[in-house]
Amino acid sequence: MRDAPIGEAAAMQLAGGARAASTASARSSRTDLVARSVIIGSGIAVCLLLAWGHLGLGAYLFPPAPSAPRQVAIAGPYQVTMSADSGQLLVGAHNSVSFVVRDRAGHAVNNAMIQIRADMTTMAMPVPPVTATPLGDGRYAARPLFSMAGPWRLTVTIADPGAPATHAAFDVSVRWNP
Amino acid sequence: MSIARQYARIFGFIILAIGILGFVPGLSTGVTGSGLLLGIFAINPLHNLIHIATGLMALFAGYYADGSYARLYALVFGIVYVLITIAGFTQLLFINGSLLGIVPINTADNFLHLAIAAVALGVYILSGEQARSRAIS
Repeated sequence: MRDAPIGEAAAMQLAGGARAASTASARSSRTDLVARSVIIGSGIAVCLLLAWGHLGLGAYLFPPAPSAPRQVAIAGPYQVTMSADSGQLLVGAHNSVSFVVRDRAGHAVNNAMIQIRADMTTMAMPVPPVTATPLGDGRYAARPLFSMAGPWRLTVTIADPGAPATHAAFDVSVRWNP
Repeated sequence: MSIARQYARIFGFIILAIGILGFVPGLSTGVTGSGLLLGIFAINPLHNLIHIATGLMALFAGYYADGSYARLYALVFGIVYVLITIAGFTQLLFINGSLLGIVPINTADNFLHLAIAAVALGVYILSGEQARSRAIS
């Protein structure tokens, strides 16, 4: 008889302990779920962000606005007119761009060496420079390579014999191939 | 200390530092936060933030609950960087049309991602073997 109250107390203690353990276990499994979700979720977020910025997914889903097909820039004593002959510039090496170089008097500059260096303005993505082919009458043709869609800057270096090299810059937008 | 926990803590500090250093003037070739970090790796503010986020997650996994989630972190981010690496190299092949003509654009970044993936997945596998051998002994 005397054991009954002690037994009940012990049972109640055990039940309380079990409830506490169950609560702690539930909390622990919730915490575990949250921690796992945070790690997996951040992994997915990092993957999407890398694809968006590093691989150009952003420019694929939201193509950049087209750049002007014809632009004019001044480079020292020269006026340089750039034309995107192949239309909208696309990723790859199949773009055709031409430059017309004239001096201050409007005369065509025919003997210059024209080199074009392309780089993205949002991320350093230098590509091998290309040398333009002279076509006569101050015209030079080049096929620049673009490795990703987005905003690019073409830096044109004009090296005329007997004169210091000068530079002109053109901002263009490049899209992914459809 | 388990290899996964060590990896998460060390890698976390390193990649976090890389993300922060990307914003330090003078360490990249372009304007602050952009350009080529140490003249090699193409970065921009988004890239730096990704590195910071990756580092913070690694430190969380390496320190929270005594590093219980470090192995999961190694698996998740190993898979993430494998996917990014494959996409990065595939993009290069697609642009230039041939394996031998890979243009060295962002290739340094692709190899860095490949190394991160290899180490992460290697840690995941090794930490599994470590746990199994502990259980046996």
